[in-house]
Amino acid sequence: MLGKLLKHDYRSMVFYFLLMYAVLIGIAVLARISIGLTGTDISAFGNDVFAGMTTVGSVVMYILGCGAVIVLTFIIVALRFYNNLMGREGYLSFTLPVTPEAHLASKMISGATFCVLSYVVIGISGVILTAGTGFWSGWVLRVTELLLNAVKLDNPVILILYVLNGLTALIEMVAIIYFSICVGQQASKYRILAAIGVYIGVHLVLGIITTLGSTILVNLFRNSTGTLLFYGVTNTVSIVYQCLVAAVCMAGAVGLMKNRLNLE
Amino acid sequence: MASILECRNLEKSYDGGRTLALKGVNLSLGKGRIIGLLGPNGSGKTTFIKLINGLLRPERGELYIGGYPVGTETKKMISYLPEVTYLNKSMRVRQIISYFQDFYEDFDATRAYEMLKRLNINPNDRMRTMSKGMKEKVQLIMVMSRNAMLYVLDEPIGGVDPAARDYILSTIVSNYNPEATILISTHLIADVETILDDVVFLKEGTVVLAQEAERLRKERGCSIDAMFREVFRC
Repeated sequence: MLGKLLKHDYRSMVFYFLLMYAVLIGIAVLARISIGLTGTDISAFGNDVFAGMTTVGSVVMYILGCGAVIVLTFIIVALRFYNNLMGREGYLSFTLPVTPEAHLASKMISGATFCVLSYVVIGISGVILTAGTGFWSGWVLRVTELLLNAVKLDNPVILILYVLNGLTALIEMVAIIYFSICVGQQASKYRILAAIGVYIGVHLVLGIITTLGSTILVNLFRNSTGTLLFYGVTNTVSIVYQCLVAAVCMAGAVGLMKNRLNLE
Repeated sequence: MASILECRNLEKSYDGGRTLALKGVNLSLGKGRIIGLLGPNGSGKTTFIKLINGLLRPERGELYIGGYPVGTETKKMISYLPEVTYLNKSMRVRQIISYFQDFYEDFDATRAYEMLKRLNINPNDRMRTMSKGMKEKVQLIMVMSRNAMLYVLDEPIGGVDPAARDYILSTIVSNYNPEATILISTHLIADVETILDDVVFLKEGTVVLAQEAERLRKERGCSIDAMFREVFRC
C-alpha cells in the first residue's frame, strides 16, 4: 500500500515541481546568456553601467528565483499534506484500507524527495549560470576551496556526514511542518494560522535547545575546534538530534491522526 | 439473520464532553438490507457514520463491522459516500478510477466506466470542470462500483434536483451487491421510503426507533415520512 500511496503523492506534486524547476533553469540560462554578453569583470562596470546593471540584475533575479524555489517547495509539500489528509480529501484518504502510519510515511518520503531535488536543481542551475564565466574561476572555485579546507570537506567521512546532516535537516523540517499542521487542526477556527503558530513555536524551542547544545559542544572541544574530530562529532550529534526531533514529530502526528482526527 | 454492524453503548461527545452527540447507542444492522438512518439536523447521524468509518473515535462503547473492530480490515468492507465532495479537483475521472482500483480489491472498473458512459461523463474530464451535481454523481459511481459488504451513504440526495435524486436512488438499488447492506442517512424521507427495508430513527443522539419499514407502516397505518414528522415535531 505504501508504494501505491507514494505513486499518487508523487503524481499529485510532480507537475508543480517540474514547472518550478523549468522556470529556475530558464532564469539561469537567460542570466548566463546575459552575463556572457556583458561580462563579469566588475572593475569594468564603472565604464559600462548598462553591462553592470545587466549582470547584477541577472544574478539578483537568479538568487530571487532560488529563494522562491526553496519557499515554494515547502509550501507545496505542506499544502499536499493539508489538502490530502486534513481537508475534504481526508474523507477519502482516511477511509482507504491504509494505516495513518503508512499515510505519514508516504508524505514524508515524497516531501523529503522533492526537498532534496529542489536543492539539487538549485545546484545544477548554479553551475549553468557560472561555469566557464569569471564568476566560476573568480568566486565559485575559491569559495569551494576555502570550504573544503575550513570544514574538512576534503575528508570523505566528513563529507558523508555533512550530506547526511543536510538530508536529516530536510527530513526534520518536513516532519515539523506535518506535526504543526496536525496540531493546528485541533483548533476550531483559523487552523492554518494555528499551524503556523505551532511551527514558529516549535522552531523557537528547538532554537533554544540547539543554541545550548552548540555552546556545550564548542566548550567541550574548545582545544580542538577546526579538527576532524570536532567536525565529525558535531555532525554526528546534529544528525542524531535531527532524527530524534523528526521521530518525535512523526509520532505526535500519527497519534493525533489516530485519536484526534478533525476533518472539515 | 447475521448482522454486518453491531454497536453497544456507543458514546461520542465534542468540545471536551460539553456536547454529547451520541448517547449509549445500541444497534444491530442485518446483512442484505437497505436501512434508512433518519433524523433531523444535529441528531447524530453524521457522527455515527464517521464512527463507522474510523473518522472519529468513540469515548465509550464498542463498534464492530463484520465482526472486526473499526480499522483497516473494516475499511476494506465499507464503501463510503460522504456528504462533501472528497475527490481531488485536479484529477481526471479515469485517474480517480485508477486510484480506487489501486486501493480497493473489490472495485469494478468496468462497471464504473459503464455508468459514466450512461451519464455521458467523459473519463478524461477533470473534476474541477464539472458542476456540483456531476461531481456527486461521479462520487456515487465510484462508491457503487465496489462490491462492498456495507455501503454507507451520507445524504446522497441532498442538494440535487428531483430528476437527479431519482437517478441516484435507481443507481443505488440497481448496482449494489444484494448480499450487502446499504445504510442511507437522510432527512428527505419521502424520496427514499419506497426502497427502505428497515428504518432507524435517531433523535438527540439516541435511537428512538429501529424496525422493519413495512411492519412499521402496517402498525402505525401511515408512511414513514408521516411518522418522522410526528416523532420529530418541533
